[in-house]
Amino acid sequence: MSAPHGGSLIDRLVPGEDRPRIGEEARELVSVPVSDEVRRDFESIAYGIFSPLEGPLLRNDYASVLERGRLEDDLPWTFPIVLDVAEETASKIREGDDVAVSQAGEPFALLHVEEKYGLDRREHALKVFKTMDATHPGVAETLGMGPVLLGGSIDLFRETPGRFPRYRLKPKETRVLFKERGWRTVAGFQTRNAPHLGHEYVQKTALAFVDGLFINPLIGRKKPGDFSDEVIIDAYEALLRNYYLRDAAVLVTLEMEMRYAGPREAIFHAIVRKNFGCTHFVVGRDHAGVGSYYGPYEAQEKFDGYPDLGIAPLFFRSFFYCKKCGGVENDKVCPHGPEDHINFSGTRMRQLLIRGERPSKEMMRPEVVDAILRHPEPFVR
Amino acid sequence: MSPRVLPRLLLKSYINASGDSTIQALFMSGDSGKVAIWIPRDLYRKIEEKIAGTSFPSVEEYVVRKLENEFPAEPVYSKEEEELIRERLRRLGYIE
Repeated sequence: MSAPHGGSLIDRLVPGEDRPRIGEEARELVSVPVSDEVRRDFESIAYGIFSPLEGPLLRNDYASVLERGRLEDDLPWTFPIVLDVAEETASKIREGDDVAVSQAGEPFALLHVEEKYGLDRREHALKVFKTMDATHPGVAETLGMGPVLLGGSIDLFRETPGRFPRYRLKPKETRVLFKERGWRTVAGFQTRNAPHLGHEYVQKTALAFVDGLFINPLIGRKKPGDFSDEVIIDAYEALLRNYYLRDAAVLVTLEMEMRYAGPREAIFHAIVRKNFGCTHFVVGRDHAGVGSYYGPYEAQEKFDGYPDLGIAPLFFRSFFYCKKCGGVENDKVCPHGPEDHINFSGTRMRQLLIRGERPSKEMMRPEVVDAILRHPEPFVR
Repeated sequence: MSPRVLPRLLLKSYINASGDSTIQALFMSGDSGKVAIWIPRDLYRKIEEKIAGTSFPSVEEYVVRKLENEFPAEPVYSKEEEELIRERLRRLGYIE
């Protein structure tokens, strides 16, 4: 099992007995309202999913992440976790203050503000997403950010149950789970899709080399056209029930939005799975990409700059069903031409499913198709 | 050069007298739970330059942080905490 990133698993969860008191005290503080997505990030910090971060980034770490893809102390960290606020809110806060981070007027965490600094949206977008194109979902979000960033450590005193409490585990829990299962090596699989046969091929190939598979779909805001969270869960339940050895794989959700930052997000995703205890991480073609902003294997190449990541990437190329081979193959091993290949086109499968039609069994398991078609609206609108 | 445990005063005099190409990196006495190691002087200077203007107060803090990253510790749970986790994992069907 991998040790946590940076050496120790961060725990910023206030003990149960102290929560009512801190919750009451928080009502007297300046309130910083945040979105669902920021609240999820705060929970991830508190649970150690973002170890070693103890809160939104301080100025030097932020600058270092943007410039070098590393924290100031050189530890790999590629996606800036920040808290942006409006000028008006910022004017009420001084460095050294405690503020109440809130939703709908209800505080859920304290932020001990160590630093307050300005956000350069253009620099942020260009460094993180490599574009200023406002149609890129990450850039669009950046352009809507407040002009001031608050950095410091947090204490979370009110948790949400999560969208799928049955599948929500913290890193300290997955680490016990892996130990209980006797898994010394675990491959993390990041997904935002209902699984087709290509995904299954990748997962089972990875499983041939490790003790266990950690299927970890992202639950949270996605772009229109992506599978809805409920569909992803139902589809994976069907796949695991019918096609996986019971003790070989686990399904655990991760409540976190997609950022579509391509290569930077691939490294970030690997770090997050390292904190859950994974020793390996599957990186596919165009990992965390959107449109054509990143090269198909740019995310995989990014790992060359991180030999000290502490989790081993497993790279997979594009794969397809080969009619001559009679199974799922990839271009590294299949000698047949494109005329014999059926590509796993997400767009094509989506079009079929929207019309209520079934992708072929060479594309998707029938049980998975059934699970998807049980939902009248399987995609994010 | 192998790691040493040296009293603080002895270390100070060694450094003052030494024309060696190594320099003390971790300057603490053995009774504080730390040991002294020796790194090349050039490397020490490079680290000094690297951390200038950053939040690292000393070369020692920087080196210790790097080494902690390299040799992280597995989280340790109390028996009670681990049993509570097991109980939840059982309830959710992850383990039997």
